[in-house]
Amino acid sequence: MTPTRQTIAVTLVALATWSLSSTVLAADDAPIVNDYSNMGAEYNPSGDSQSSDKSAAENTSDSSKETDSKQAAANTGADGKPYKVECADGKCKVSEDVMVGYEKFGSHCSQCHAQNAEGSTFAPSLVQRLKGMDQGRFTAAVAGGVTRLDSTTGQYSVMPAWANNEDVMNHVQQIWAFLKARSDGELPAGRPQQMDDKS
Amino acid sequence: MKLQPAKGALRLATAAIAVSSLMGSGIVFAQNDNADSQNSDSSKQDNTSQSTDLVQLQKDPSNWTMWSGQYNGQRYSELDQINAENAGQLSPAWTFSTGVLRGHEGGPLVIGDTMYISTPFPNKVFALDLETHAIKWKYEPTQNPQVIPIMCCDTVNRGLAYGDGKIFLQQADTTLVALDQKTGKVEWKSVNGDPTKGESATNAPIVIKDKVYTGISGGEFGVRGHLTAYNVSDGKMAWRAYSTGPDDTMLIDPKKTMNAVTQKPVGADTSLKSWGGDQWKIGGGTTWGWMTYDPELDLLYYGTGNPGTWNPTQRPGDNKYSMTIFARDPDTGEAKWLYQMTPHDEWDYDGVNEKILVDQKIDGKDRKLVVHFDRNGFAYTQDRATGELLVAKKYDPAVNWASGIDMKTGRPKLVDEYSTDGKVDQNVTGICPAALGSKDQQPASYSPKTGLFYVPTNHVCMDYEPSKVDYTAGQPYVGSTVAMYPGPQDIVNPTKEFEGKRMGTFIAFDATTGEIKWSVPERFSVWSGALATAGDVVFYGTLEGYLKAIDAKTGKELYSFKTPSGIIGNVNTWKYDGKQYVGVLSGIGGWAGIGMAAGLTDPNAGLGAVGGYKDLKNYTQLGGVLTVFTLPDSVAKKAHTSEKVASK
Repeated sequence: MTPTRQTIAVTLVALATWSLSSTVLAADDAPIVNDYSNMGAEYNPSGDSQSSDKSAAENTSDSSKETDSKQAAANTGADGKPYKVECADGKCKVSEDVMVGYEKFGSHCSQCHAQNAEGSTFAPSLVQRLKGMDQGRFTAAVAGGVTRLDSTTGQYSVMPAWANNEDVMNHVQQIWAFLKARSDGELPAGRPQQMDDKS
Repeated sequence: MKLQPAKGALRLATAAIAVSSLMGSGIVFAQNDNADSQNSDSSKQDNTSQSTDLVQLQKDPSNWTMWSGQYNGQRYSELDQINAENAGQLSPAWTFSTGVLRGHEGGPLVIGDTMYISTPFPNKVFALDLETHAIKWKYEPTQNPQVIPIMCCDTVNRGLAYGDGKIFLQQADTTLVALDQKTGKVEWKSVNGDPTKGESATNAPIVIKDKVYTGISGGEFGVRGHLTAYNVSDGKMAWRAYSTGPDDTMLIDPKKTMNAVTQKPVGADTSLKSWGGDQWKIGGGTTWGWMTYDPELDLLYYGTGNPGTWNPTQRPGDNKYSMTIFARDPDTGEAKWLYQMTPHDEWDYDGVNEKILVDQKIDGKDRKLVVHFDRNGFAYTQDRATGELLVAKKYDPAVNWASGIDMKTGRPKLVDEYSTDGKVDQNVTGICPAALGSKDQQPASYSPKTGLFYVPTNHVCMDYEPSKVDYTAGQPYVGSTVAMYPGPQDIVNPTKEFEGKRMGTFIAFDATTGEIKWSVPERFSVWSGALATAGDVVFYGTLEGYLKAIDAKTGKELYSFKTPSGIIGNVNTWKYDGKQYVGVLSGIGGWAGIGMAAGLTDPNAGLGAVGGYKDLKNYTQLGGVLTVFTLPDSVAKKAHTSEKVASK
């Protein structure tokens, strides 16, 4: 393992996309200050410390929020979404990608990030975290892992590198689809059902 | 079946320490040959004085010298200054922040005028002066943070051990450290495993005579579990007993080691025969739980964890000896008897929970018993000399994966509906208990005065969907998606009303009959180790952060105090300068911090709806703090005390 190099790589991606992470507040109606899903495990819910100060500053300006929202939307592909979710009467049907993503997330990621991706006392809520993250940065974090010393608490957060795990890397697109649906608020917590047409 | 020669197996499993390990086994077998002939074993004579010291010291209720207070695992104190009449007047006396945020399991040790506590990663150790509350010394190891993500359920540490003037710390990265009790100076270090293979450690060690014993974690990483003894004097490995594999590596003597159910020798290579191919090499059976010891029988008791992957279809056979209680000779490591609670596990019901040693009457006869509250929801009462199975009953009415235990075969009577075997990619719903078990690591207590066990329990059920998984060294080896939610409403003799869904119960249990006497309903799992005292007061903590004192006879609440964070630590007690104190570590986290904290769903209320259930996150936040309670001086003076002073 070469955690240092991986951390640098992730940081570089993070720096390149710092403006995206500043959509943390803008992308959601509910203010993140009231989200305790990680029970305070992380002081700064928006990601790497390099981008946090800037994102806080950016969020004080309404115009920058608009810009960032557009940028985020432009980044999510043709129909804007990597998933399909249809909910009625509290039951949600999802595309095959999301269903596979749910299962792979459950098998490999939920031990730390919790069954609904809402985080634990020791891993961040991905429902929140993905609000400021593009797919490239997500994949880089999954493959390379994240080692982070929080200077406000003096404590480490470490996500392992999954680059050598085929079951994760072969399904990283599906895991992204599931998490994005959760993060966008389109898919509620719990086990979804797959759509019949397997679209 | 492909049998590997023992040497090859050892080399594969522990390349780094293969040489010392082989030497260790060699020595063990030399001793085994002599084990039955009295006085021929030199180690037994050499270690008598240390044995006597600690056996005496643990009886003095002023001290709390090991995880459970005493070797018997009862977590019972003879102190009675705090009693059922005055417990309501308890109040915090002093507090101490550990400066670490993650889950704080375990509890404080007290020896004389000094308290010793440890923290989650980075595993700081503090020696605190009970007079001034100042820090006498502090030890903080340097550990590679890459061990953090291989700890399945938070970076907890379940506390320290004491013996021969040394404080023993089992670090997360598997390094066992001996510290000078007075100065904190490192006396020796021994590496017990390899984190790059997914091996880590969370358990509290225990000292017996001239050896210190420790376990290994990594049940979700295909680790092959083992219990290992090191010399207290120099840290050299004395013996290692694997949980799976060939008999000689498990320190099983096929002609002498007894099967507790049949009361006959187990026979040759029963573990190897219970696995397909070489799967025993990634067979789990990790040893992260508590250990107990009977000085008279000279037997050490502990249990082993889940087998390999969580997908049972992938590992046919009984998967021996995962999910097993072992009684071993502490000098040689030889297994005296064993009993597998959950053959071919399909639910992650680790068998590591503490084995509590009590003397009680069964059918009018005095028996030396070992009682354990298994993750699988059954409480087992066995003869601790022979392992004979006497009682096995559910200690939560919700338990449904088995209808009971067949007392002739010792095997659970499985309920097909809740089996996950042969159901790859099928979601099996409504299994009780959840993978957390009806009880996890949180140790129970026993009061010889009431004859009852006081058991902190989980009341959580799950959906379980196994999936195929490939083994990669150092990577999680789980193969299952689990969703957990609060259990059904049923409860036996509740001490109070409880509205809404609950996920925990604190029960009083009679292990001679297998009956729940009464139940205190709790909103969340009770993940804190209980304490019973001669004052007829029982203590435990809750995930919201309340330290509670209840009446040992009725379960009525006597005192409750909201500490700074959720409690997953154990409540311990000691006496200093004429006053009884009770102390507990707060610090939400552990498996409770993930299983409970985030977005549990109610399967009956539609996706995403959580009904009246409120998340733990609305009650507490992170923070490691020790809180010490005592009575006001005026009340303490009035308290009638009848404590027996330990015979020195």
